[in-house]
Amino acid sequence: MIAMSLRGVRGGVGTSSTLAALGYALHELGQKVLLVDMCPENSLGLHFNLNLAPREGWARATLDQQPWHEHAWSVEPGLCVLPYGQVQPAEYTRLDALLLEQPQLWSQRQAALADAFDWVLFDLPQRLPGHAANPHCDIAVMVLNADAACHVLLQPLLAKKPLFLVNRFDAASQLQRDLVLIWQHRYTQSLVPLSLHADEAMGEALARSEPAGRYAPGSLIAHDIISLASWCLLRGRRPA
Amino acid sequence: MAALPTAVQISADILSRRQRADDIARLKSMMELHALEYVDVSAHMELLQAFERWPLLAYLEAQYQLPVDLQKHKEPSP
Repeated sequence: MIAMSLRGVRGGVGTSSTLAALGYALHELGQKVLLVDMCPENSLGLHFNLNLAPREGWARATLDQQPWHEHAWSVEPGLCVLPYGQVQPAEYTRLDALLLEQPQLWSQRQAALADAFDWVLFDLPQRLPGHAANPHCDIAVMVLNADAACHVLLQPLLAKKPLFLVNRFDAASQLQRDLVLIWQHRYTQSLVPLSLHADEAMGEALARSEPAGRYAPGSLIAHDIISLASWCLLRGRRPA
Repeated sequence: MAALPTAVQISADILSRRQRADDIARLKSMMELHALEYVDVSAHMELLQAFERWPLLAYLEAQYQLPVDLQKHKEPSP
């Protein structure tokens, strides 16, 4: 089983939409996939026509000391979503402290999931360090847009040699072309060697409660996501 | 496929497979220009132009450059 996480370098870069589309694409390539919502917004399931902010989820269950694994939703055979659950701000702050105190919590859970899934994808929150650090991932990707704000936020992170993925790339933009050129030259080893293009289909897919690949299989973004999924299979050394 | 005759015979033992497939590496070896580095001038120019266009990017480039190792540039003592 390969554990992978996506985390935005800041909010609003399209991390959850990308994760939902990637999970769907990996499943289309024959993989058994579990998507885990690590964000208190509790909205990952909307990409798969599930309820908004379901009450039950792994975080709610962890706080209530209930079994955490009973609240996953099966979208299709071999494609599941585990929601966060409804949690108040004070509670998720307490849960974050708990996750920092118990850094092995999700590792143990991942080991229990290893037989059931080929991939576990974590949608990490941009803040909440305990939530972001707890899953131990083979592939940890930071998602960013090719804009100056993301470039600023990226600078202090580069010493940790993160893997980062450009989302919503618009080749018609001089600034975006320049930024990607700089990143390709300066951070060759850190940059995922493909960019996800800006495509209206990605936004429309959420408005239809579907991942991009199901909503518009012929779209540019669906092709980009399939390329990303193939790259993940290569990186994770899993046959398609 | 016939091999083209060359003035300098390049031994397969000396160059790795990757080097043999690399035209520039072969040329450097033949011309004995081992110190010659390949520089993509047009890409370098594009990079400079990008920094000229966007002052914030140039500023950040200067801010986050690796600090110079002073030990390497120590002045010789008299």
